[in-house]
Amino acid sequence: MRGCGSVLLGLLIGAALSFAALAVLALAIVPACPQSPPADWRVRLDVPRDLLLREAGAQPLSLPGAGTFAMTDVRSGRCGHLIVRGDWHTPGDWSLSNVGIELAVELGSGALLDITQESLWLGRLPLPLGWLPRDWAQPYLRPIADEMGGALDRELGPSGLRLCGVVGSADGLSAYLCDR
Amino acid sequence: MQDDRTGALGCGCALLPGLILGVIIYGVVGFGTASAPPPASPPTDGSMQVALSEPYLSEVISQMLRQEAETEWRVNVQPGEVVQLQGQVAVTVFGRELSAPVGMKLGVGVEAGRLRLTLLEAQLPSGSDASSISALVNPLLVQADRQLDAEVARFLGNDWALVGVRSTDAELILLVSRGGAS
Repeated sequence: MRGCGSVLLGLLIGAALSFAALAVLALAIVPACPQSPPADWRVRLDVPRDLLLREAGAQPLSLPGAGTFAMTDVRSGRCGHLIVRGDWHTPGDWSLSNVGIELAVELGSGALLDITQESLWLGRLPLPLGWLPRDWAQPYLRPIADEMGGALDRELGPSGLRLCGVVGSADGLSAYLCDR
Repeated sequence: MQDDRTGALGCGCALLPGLILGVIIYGVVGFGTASAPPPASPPTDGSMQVALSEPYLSEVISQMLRQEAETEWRVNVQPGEVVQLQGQVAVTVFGRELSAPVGMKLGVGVEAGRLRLTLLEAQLPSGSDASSISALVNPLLVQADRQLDAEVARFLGNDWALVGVRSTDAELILLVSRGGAS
C-alpha cells in the first residue's frame, strides 16, 4: 500500500514537473527574430494564406515513414514564422486533427530556401522544438523547401532578380526580391 | 519477499513515467481546449500582390525611356494610383541645347488586363506651351505606357494576369490573379 502511494506520488510529481516545464518553456521562450525585410528590396510578392493553402495543400503531403499530413490552415506566428496546421494520418491508420507545426522559412545558404521546425502545436499549446537537432525534420521539410525554391528560381530566372528575404505576414507570406 | 519499490525508491522510479504522463496531459489539454480557428479572411480567389518599390520603378523607367530622354528618372509613388516622374530633358533655346527639368504626374490603372498610364499633369520648363506637351511629353508617355506594360507582362509570365493596381506612398502594388480570374 505504501509502495503504491509512493509510485502514485512519483507519477504525480513527474507529470507536474514536465507539464510545468513545457508550459514555462512555451511562455518564456521568446525567440530571436532575425527576419526583417532587406533594405534594398526591389519587388515584394505578398502571397496570401488561402493561395498558399491552395498551392501547397491541394494534396496531402507524404511523410516518408510517418504517414501523410493534410494541410488545413496556414497562419503567421511570432517572428514571421508560419504555423501550418492539418490532419496527420499515421501509417498505423489513426489520425490526429489540428496538429500544427511552426516553421521558420529563411534564405538558404546552399539551397534557395531553408525551412526549419520551431514548435509543434498540440491544439493551442506549443511544444518548443528548439532543443531538437536542427536537421531533425529535414527529411520532410527539405523536399518542400527545394520545390518552393526551385519554382521561385524558375519564375525569377528571366527577371534579373533574386530572392533576398522571406517573412511571414499577418495575411500570408512575403517574398522580397533584390537585384542579382 | 519484500518489495523494494517503497518509499523514496518507488517515488523515484515513477518519476520517469510521470514525466511522460505530463507530456501526454499537456497534449490532451492542448487539443481539448483548442478553440475553433478564427474566421479566415475573405478568400482572394487565388490572387496575390506584387509591390514595386520606388527605386525599382526608377531604374525600370529610366531604362525604358533611355532612347527618348537620356536621364535618370526619379519616381515618386503617391496614394491614389498616382506616380510622379521627375527627370531632365534636352531643350533647344535660341539655338542652344539646354537641360531642363521636366515632371509628369501620371495616373496608373488597369484596362483589359493591361497597365495603362494617363497624364494628369505635366511640369515643363518655363515658357513651354501646349505644343511642347505633345512634342515632349506625349512620346515619353506612350513609350512608358507600352514598355511598362510589356515589362509587367514579362515579369508575370503566362500563368498570372493583371487584375488591378493600387498604390501607397512608396509602393506601386499590382494585383495579379492566376489565369486572370478576378
